[in-house]
Amino acid sequence: MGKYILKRILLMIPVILGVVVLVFTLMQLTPGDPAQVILGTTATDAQIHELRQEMGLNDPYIVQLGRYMYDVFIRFDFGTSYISNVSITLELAQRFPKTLIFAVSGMILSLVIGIPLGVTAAVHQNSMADYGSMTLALIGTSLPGFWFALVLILFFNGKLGWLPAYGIGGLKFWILPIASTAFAGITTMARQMRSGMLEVIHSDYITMAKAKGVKKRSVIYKHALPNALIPVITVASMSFGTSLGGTLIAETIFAIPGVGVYIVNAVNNRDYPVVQGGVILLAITFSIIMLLTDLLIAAVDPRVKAQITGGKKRGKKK
Amino acid sequence: MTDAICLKTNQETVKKKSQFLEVLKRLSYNKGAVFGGILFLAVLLLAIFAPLIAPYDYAAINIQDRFLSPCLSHLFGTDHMGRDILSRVLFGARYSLLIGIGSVIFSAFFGIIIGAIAGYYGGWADNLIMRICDVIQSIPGLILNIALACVLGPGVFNTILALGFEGIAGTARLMRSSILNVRKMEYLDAARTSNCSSYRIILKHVFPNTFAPILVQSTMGVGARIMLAASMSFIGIGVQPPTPEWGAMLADSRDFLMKFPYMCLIPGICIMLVVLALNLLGDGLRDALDPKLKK
Amino acid sequence: MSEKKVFLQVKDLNVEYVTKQETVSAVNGVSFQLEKGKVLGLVGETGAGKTTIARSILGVLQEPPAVLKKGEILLDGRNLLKLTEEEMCSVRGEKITMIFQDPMTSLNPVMSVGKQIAEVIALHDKISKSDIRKKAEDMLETVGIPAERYDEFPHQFSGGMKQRVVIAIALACNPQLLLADEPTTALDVTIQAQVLELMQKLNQENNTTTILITHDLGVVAQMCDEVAIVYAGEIVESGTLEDIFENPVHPYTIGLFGALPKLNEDVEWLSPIDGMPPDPTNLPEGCKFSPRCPYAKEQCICSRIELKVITPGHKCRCLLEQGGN
Repeated sequence: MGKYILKRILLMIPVILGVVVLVFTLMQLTPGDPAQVILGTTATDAQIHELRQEMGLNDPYIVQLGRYMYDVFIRFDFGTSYISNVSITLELAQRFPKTLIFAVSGMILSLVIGIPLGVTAAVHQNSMADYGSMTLALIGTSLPGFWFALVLILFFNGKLGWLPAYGIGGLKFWILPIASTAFAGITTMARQMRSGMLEVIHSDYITMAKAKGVKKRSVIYKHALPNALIPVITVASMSFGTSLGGTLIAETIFAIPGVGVYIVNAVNNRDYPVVQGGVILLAITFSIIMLLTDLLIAAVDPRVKAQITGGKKRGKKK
Repeated sequence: MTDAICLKTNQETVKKKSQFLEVLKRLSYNKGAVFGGILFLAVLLLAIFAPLIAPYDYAAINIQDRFLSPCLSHLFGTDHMGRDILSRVLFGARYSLLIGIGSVIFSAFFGIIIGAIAGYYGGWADNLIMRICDVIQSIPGLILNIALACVLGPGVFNTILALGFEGIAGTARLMRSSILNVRKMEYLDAARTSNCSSYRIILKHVFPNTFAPILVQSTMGVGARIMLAASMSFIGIGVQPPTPEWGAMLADSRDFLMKFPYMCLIPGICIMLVVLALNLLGDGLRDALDPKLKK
Repeated sequence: MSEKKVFLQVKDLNVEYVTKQETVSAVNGVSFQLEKGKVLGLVGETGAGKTTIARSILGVLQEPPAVLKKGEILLDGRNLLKLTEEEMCSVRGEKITMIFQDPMTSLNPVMSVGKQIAEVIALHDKISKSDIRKKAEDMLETVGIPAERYDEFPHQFSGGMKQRVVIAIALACNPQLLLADEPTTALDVTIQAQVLELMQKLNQENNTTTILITHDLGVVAQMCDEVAIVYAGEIVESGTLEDIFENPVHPYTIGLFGALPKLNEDVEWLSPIDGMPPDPTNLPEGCKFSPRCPYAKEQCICSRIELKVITPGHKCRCLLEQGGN
């Protein structure tokens, strides 16, 4: 297993390098001259030329890429912002924890609420509770997250005045933002869990378990649930990506000073190194989540485990 | 000999037609899918005939009639510049559908070709393509879209490009995996032993069998793209006001959220209904196309 | 002679599969009885309703879409259909067990095979944890799998071994009634013989009453005391092994034998039964076999045919032998 973990981590390295190359190249393609952006419209050609030289913008693409990769991976330096001239690494380090808390707590909520909801709906298939919760879930997956956030503000802040709408502070400030991002995750999880559960419930080994005289409750929790959860783990990690995106927009709505606001403002200000750094950071975060997911699946699914540990397999597979 | 071929093609068309009808029939049993289909069709028609239906010019500014709540002369009210929201929503449907459908076609076109190459030829081509897809997919969707929008700049066409590009990796991967599934099937060996060319095998045997998952993914994809496009417009990097795209309208409404909530509620409900319709239709299609459920 | 008492009795069993679009009549008024220790072969084509009969007895129909319309299933005089779910749980796995058709999908992929055997023992035998493991290991050995493979998972086993694990589960608590649903169909011929031999041995040792579902007449001849031929959810002919094999009466039964190759006769063509089984959503009104029957008459098509006794113990659902012809 240790060997597999190491191998999986090594496999992640080229992907992350690829991400850096991709994002760097994209930003190279952006219209406009960074020197112009920094110096403003009043700058003379000579000034611009001097700054370009200083920033290495006149070097060939490959040299610039190499320099950027060296800075990012060896010195953990994402450069400085064109606009504020502040170190991007410093800024990201300050903002990232907020974004992470935000996204992870949304994720946890969607698992904790979505999975039991999906299981219950599947077990009571075709009941009123099933229809009701699935209709709600379907509507939930069709709601734009940012609009739902606005509606939540309108209702809980505007109409009821219970919760603060903007800014950060105590626990109260986190309720609406997390609720708005978790909602989509909850509905996705519930739908996935239900369909996964139904598939498993109709499989032969569940009938077999019933035939053994296992009680209905145990059939569901001991036999069906572990099997149905495995594919849901993958879905959950994918929806973490969506949740990161949702977090980004929710940050702008709720005025949470996280990575999202930083990136969005940078896009509007053409502050490319910030966009570059922020996107790379979030992509690495996502890759790490995917890595953890793969490891978790390997740990819980004996079929995958056998495949990667190899050796001990006997007989024919399948 | 020619007779035999004629007979075969005849049977093929008969079979294809009946298969299509069979899918439609099964789809019609699904109340949700029927509802979704009708709703989507209605929105499509409203969008196409928006110039005929819209009661006002969607861009006409009328400062005297600002912030009119929904009433008889303005069914959905007016916005902060006195423009009729109903007319704007109708024209907005055009932009949202155009972006959704356009970007899905874009990613389906390139995704299918790239995925087919990877899946059918395998080897180094497959490896290279899949590693590139790994890289693209390790950047969460909306975040990649933001980066792309940053490069391309705002606007309807650029939003289509950004969303379309992001979707290529997913479609290619799906195409590749369904081709790999099909490749394992014995009927392909049968086709090969009867000396079919690779081109013919791909076109006649592989493609029809990979069509279903792509169709389902694309149907749901249109909804997801409409939602993503709205998010991007909302944060100001997609379609820009005064274009009446729904997300851009929501961005406009933000400052008046507490005072004039209808400005925010109406475009949001529109997005929700279209996405809901497409999700219902996609769910129904998936069930109708699943041969496992044929019984 | 005290053994000569009816152990299992199924009376007028009717099961339908109801979906929004259609209703499939899978089992239509099936009745039979079985004495303790006997082996009954249920023979019929795929889709004839054999598996549904077995699942009804065990109470593991897939509901929905299955609906048990009416009928009685008496085990030792007790109506199983009247039992509560809780009571039924103590019957399943202990008194009645089942071997399923497809060994590939019958085992839980994320639970070790040993645990899957131990589970049924733990449920029905009141013994200590270490004894449970000991007994499960013994069961593995009984079906010819080394006990040290207790902690391995189903994907590490071949099809034949998986089926043996399924059999070990079915036999772990010495059931009184064993339902074997095509236990050998998915297996290689050599493994088939081993599995049948194993079942036969256990049947003799424990006097287990067995219902063997199959479409393989060779297996029937080797294993069964009694045979019931099922067609479109009805028993069309039943009797002892000799009755059916030496003196078949129903045209369908005769047809089944005609479709079987014989080694001692040099026939150029096998004679299959013409036509297809009827559409179970729209069964013929009269004799269900009448559309395919070479002897069908008007009366066969219009009126329902009842089972008639031909010789004691040998029943047939056909007019042919009742003076109709």
